[in-house]
Amino acid sequence: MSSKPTTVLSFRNVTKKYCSNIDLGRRRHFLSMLFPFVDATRLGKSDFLALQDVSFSITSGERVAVLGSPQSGKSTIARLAAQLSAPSRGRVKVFKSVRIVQPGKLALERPLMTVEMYCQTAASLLGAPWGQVKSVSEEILSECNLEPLRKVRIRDLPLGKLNQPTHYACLRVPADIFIFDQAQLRVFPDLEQTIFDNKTVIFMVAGREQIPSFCTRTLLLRGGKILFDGPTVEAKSVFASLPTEETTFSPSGTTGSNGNDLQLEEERKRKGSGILRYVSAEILNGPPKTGEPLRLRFVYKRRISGSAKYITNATVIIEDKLGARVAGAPARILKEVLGEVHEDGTLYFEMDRLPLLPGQYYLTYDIHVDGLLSDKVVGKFKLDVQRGDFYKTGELPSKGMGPFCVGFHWDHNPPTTEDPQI
Amino acid sequence: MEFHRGWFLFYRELQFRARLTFFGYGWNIVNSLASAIPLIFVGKQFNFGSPDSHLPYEVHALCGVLFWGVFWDAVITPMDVAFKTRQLLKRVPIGNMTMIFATCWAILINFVVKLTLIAIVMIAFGVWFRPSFLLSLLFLPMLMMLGLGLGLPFMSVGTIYQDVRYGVGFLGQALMWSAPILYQTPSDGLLHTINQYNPLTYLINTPRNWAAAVAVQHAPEVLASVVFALIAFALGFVFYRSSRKAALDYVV
Repeated sequence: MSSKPTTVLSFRNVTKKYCSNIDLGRRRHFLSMLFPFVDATRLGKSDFLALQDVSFSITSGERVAVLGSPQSGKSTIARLAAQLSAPSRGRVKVFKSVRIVQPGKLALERPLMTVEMYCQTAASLLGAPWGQVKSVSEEILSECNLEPLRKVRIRDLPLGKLNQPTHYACLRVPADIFIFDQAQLRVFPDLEQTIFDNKTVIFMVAGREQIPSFCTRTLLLRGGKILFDGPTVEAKSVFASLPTEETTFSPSGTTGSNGNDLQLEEERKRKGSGILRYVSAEILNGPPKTGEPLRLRFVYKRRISGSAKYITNATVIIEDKLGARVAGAPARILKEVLGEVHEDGTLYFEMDRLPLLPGQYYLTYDIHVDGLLSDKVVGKFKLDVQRGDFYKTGELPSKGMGPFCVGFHWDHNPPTTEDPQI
Repeated sequence: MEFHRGWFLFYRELQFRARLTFFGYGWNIVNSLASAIPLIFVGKQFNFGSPDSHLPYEVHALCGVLFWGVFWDAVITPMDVAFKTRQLLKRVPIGNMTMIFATCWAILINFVVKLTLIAIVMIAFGVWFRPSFLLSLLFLPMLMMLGLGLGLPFMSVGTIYQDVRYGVGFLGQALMWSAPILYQTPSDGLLHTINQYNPLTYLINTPRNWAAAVAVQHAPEVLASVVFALIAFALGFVFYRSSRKAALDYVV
């Protein structure tokens, strides 16, 4: 006998305002703390509405997808539902415990903490009952094959080693509502299946093909507003019929012709001084394949005029789906002066052999001007590596190979494979 | 559950701090009283104590420092906890009470360390433990609440701007000398008036008197101070609760 579904989460006329200029935002928020009668939704300079008058409710056991292009407000909904933020106007009511599952770490680690202590702290802070903290922690250690590393300090671990236990802890520690915000699925399939079968689940997805088949209801978000709330099938067709969004956040606002263009995040949300900003990135030689050459093109534009002279370095890091660094440009590249700063320019990243197993990877890349970070794009560039002929052996490389040698070329003209400068 | 989450939050920092130092947890003991020793030395030299006091000056001052420490830890520890966990707070929903319990754990550990040292000093000066001293523990929650009444709003504001964190030292000095922690309340003058209207005076003097088995003095003022502490905590908590989540949007 199934119990009657009850509302576990409701949004009523929720509006959320952000300020893209963090200094201005902090100042305004500080003043609004002191003078709470000031209208919180009044839009000032650099303000934008991430959500506008959003209302919906979710009942227990429902599996809902929130579909929307990047910057449509999905993560804002996730953060509000998880009580990590407060609405500027309207009301968010959460009647059950919420877990937000995101890629990356929880930022609870300390360099001298042991892996065992990390797992215990993660289990505890995520809400494991007092008597279960140790058992959950032991389970995390064994499921993530960290038993031999339990006494190792976090400082001594390879980069990204904590992502898996963190992900496992997020799934394993009990909660009533699970929100998957850009989180990878099928990392721990059994655990995920138990959650999908028994809990209220919300998926934040950017494309209709990413909606899990068991989601019967979909909220379609666009520009911070709910366009459609209903059956997934209908939502998909509505989404398909929508014109391409003129995203106000894309620095270039353009899409490529060869389908390999990469979506960049809003410029003002990126780190760095902003003297130069990347405006587009593109794979030049078709889908990347294991062991075969990879050529990427990054176009930048100058955004702030001044006395900036040289591009002192630019790095590219390849991360796996859990955010662990698997490869990156070698350190000696960091010492090169790549050229003078122009109004616009192009950086070519070239790799003779891509030593990665087939799968999904993400790129993080940055550019430094006169030794200071100018722009950094984190994890927005998806690299779908397909099976290729690795060194013409038909073999696959072993996972986790160390730094590899890349050809790195800075020019206004496309490079040739025969002539990498480094 | 919030109670043990608070413990993990506190323990994480304690362990980290201890591992960063050669003397480890030893600093907790040294720090607790080291700053008070010169003050007590000067106070003794200039005869801050009173001949009517039921306790030797050293014990009187150390007891004052012990209870003052509870109040002052409650003012500054929330900011410290919020600052050290600010990145975590952006990613994991941590309840309001967890943060308060993390603060309480820090205060209690400090208190126990100081109490142990004071017990040694008391024995050294021939002041033996009296059962009435246990009653003084009743005033710990009151001192904590009075401190949290200031500390919780400071925590919210300090999440956005660190000015409070740096500026709070001045406030500490002013508050410390506004209550009879290292001295006896004078019989007249401005300091007498300030002491008279300061709730800290009664929340510190009463438990200290109990250490010497002296009955409660100024009972109405003590009661008013307790009510004041409750109101201050309630107001501080309301401010903290309403502003904390929104403050997290601007954590850097």
